[in-house]
Amino acid sequence: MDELESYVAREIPHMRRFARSLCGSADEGDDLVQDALERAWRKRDSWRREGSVRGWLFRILYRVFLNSRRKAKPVLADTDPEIMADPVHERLPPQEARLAADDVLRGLASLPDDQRAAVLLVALEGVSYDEAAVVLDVPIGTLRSRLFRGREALRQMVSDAERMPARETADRRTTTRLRRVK
Amino acid sequence: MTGRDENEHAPDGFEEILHAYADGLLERDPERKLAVEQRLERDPPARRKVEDIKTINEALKAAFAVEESNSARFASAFGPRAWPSLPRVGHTAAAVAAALAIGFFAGQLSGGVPGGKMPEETVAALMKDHPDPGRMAADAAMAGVEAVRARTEPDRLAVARNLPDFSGAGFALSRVSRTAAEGKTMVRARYENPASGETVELAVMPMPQNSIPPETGGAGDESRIFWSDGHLAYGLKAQKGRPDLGALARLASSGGNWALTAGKPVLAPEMREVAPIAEPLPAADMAAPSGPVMPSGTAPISPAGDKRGS
Repeated sequence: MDELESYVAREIPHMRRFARSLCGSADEGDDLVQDALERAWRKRDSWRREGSVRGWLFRILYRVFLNSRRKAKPVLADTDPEIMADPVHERLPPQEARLAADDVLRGLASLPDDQRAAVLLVALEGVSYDEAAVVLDVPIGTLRSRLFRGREALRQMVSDAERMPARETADRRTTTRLRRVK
Repeated sequence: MTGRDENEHAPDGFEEILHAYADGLLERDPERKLAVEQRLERDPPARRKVEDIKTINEALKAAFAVEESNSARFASAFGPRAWPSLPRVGHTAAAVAAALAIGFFAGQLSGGVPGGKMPEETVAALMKDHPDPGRMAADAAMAGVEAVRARTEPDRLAVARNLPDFSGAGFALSRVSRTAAEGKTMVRARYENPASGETVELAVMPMPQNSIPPETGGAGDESRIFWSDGHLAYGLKAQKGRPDLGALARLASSGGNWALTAGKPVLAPEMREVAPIAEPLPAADMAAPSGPVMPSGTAPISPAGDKRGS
């Protein structure tokens, strides 16, 4: 295994998480990762040794994602049971885990692809704003705009949910839960 | 989208700093970080906003954990491939396998599909354009998938050209059709042995997730064999013992029959141990006295109908 292959192998878990969160589906996410890896292999000459392998892979993955999205509708409306099976959730009470994932996934589903990608890169993957802009192939100002608007939409969704009378009890639990996971 | 320039919505400088602070991007800038924290002490709305951003970040991390265990499917994804990339489908391998199992092995798709007896001129055109009859069923299935996605009809002649050649066992292609199961294209072909009167059906459909070793089974008078190479799933069906489906499967999978792979067999790992059949198989040698013969290196399984039909 050469140097790049070993770097890539280390990044696959992060690629899978980014892809699953983008697609909202474990199966689609893994398909996306496989497509991205195949494309990365074909484009391996484009990797610059001084650059981040993760950024390079994420950029390829996002392009593959956009291409696939031109042909298909997003499927983020429902919570994927496989995402709910993540080990993190196993440490939470099932009902609270369900509510947490529901809120997050519902919020993500409401975002345009470009905002969702910006939020996930920064908030989930911890990518710097500069690198996220490179991954998404947009100017840094556009990246910030997408990130802030996406977050604001997520905040608004949580706030709206908290104001719904029918969910009053659940809302209190949601607020508590969201603080607890910090 | 509003249609306005995205930068028009860019927040002011303090808003930007709040996000950067919540994202931990000010850790390398202690002075700025301290200034933000002093501001937050006297600005409750800003403090609440930072808390919300951090809460969303943590909730996202809780919802999407890093999957540390790499599944086997990624082991060779970043590497040279003898197999052309397939369009991905959004169903699990199990669902596709079930579709194949239910549709093909239960025989529910055996009637009412497009296609029919191949005209003589079609056969002549095939032989004229492709004197080497070995072609790739994968290509046929891919053509079908792409055609379905593009909502166009595949070139039936092109599909027929890409089916594997069983002439070494005395079988000639007599019918080819394309149908769908669970939204997936399935290419089906029927071969006949004019000397013995035997027939065999081949079904190919995308199964882009898992390799499945050859599984033999059967119900009633039928014998079946099924396998997947992680890209396409294959099923062969015939009357029990006539002919030997294991031998036909090896023939279908041998390197010489798969033009696009430059002579390399494209098989599930378990089948790679099986030596390609170099010599034509006399039809008389294919008959197995006690049902289908499993390729070497495979474990016996329960009948496919029992296992997959449930």
